[in-house]
Amino acid sequence: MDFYQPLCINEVKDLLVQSKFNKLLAGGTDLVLDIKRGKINPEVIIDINRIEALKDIREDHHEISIGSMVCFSQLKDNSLMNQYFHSIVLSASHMGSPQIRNMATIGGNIINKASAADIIPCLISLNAVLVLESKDSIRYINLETYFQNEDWIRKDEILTKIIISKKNVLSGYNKLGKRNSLAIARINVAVSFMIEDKIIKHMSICLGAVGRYPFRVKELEEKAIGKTVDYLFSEEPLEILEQQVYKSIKGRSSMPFKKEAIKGVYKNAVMSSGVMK
Amino acid sequence: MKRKGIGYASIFYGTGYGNGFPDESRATAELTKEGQIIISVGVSEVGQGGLSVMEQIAVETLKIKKDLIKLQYNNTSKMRDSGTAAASRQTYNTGNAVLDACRKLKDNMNKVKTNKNLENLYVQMKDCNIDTKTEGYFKATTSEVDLETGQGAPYWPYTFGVQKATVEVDDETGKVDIIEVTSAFDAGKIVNPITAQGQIIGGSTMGIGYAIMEEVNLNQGDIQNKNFSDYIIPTSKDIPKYHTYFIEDVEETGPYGAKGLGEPAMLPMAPAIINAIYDAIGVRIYEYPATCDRILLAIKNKNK
Repeated sequence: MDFYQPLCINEVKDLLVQSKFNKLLAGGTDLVLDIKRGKINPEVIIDINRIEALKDIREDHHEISIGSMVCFSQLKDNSLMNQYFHSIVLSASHMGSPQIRNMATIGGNIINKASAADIIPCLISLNAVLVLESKDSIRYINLETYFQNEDWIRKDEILTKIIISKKNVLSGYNKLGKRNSLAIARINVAVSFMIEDKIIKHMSICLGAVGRYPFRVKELEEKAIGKTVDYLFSEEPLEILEQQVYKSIKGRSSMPFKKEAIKGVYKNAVMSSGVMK
Repeated sequence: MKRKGIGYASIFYGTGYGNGFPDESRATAELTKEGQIIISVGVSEVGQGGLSVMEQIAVETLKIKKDLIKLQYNNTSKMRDSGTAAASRQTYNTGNAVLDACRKLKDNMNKVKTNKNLENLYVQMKDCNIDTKTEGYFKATTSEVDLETGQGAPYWPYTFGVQKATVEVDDETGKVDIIEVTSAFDAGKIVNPITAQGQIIGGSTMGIGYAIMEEVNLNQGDIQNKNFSDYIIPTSKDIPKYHTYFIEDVEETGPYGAKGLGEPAMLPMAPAIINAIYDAIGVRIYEYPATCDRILLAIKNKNK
């Protein structure tokens, strides 16, 4: 097994083209386990921990871009995140344990595409866009489309940043796990809203761990537009969610529980967004 | 919505192997010519604080400075059997053996009158042909229960305890948060208050895991969750503030009045939590652990 530790992104792009079976090493909280357990045996490991350009969170007029090597502790404590994206802060602070949050990266969480990934529902509900770069191309893909079309990152590409538009949204997140830390989500829900005079102008909701990949609930999003915030706690949204979860995981033994629990997790997520205040 | 509930449970628990099974502990106390007292005892230290309890009992009995005593343990070629660190029996049973050995050595030391140090005492004892090494022994007195008459004394002594759990149950997700736990135990005279409190906190935490998390998942006899990544036990984020009280009712047959505490510390916790869940949401859970799945589906069934 060869090990490279490039210092800039261009070097990574070259290495990705040269080597056959390679793996990028970000936080290593999944990769190292997979190697130890013999699940994968890459010929080349490219450690991207020394590329400072990937560790930035930057703001410009319309958007915020998060480097793919930003770890969860950084997300949790970052002032821009705290100012604009409450759901990301909530998700990052409930992910794993302090040790894992110090290592695990936002990019790793996305690329590993676990069904119960902590940050993905938040990013989808905030309409985040991935920037995938290779030696001769750069692709911008909406994260939701990335999962919907299963249009996965190519062998020669690296995820460099995640871009989120800086609209004035209220966002919230809730996770149900088997315990309060070091727990994989049984269900997680991320929501974001644009509200004017108590009227919902825009709603985006993404459910995690109730399907192969996190997904949005368009039916609810459309019905909510133009209604007052009280609508969010009425019967209709709860019924829609129950139906969605039922359809998504029909046949799984956890379905009877999850189609009920989704309602509680959804309510907690909405409450955490501050939309009812 | 989060609903608060309070539950209690109490236990009494016979410590030791019980039911007439031979339950013996041995210890040796020896004055060396270097003027040191070595206590050899087969107490297994598994984090419960057994060693410090034995040392405290020895110091209390011999009434000499702590640094003149050396505890020797865990080497079966050098000491006799004290039985297992199990059945919450080390403080009471092995503690009694240490007490016995130390009392005998103390008696022997008192046969020689001297104001001088232990080295001189050793020489004088040897001159007078007095043993400088004494054996301590304790055997618990229990008898098998007569199944015809129900008569017998299967255990002695008994430890008593009660715990109160305050919980919050989210009745829309089934999630339980343990808010506060208060414990009161009668384990006789407490030899070491700090480690005893540690026993209660550790035992209560195990009880929380038992009540709401821990489950072995089997598939045709094969355990599915073999690692601590999927066999879930409480973390520091899952445990509440613990309040601990000891009712120090002296046990006449125990070393300085002490009884066992290890297992009793975890026993009332799970039923207290289940009672608190009932108090919070009016649903009785009959199967451990009370996971959010079981609780939420039970609420659903009740509302049907």
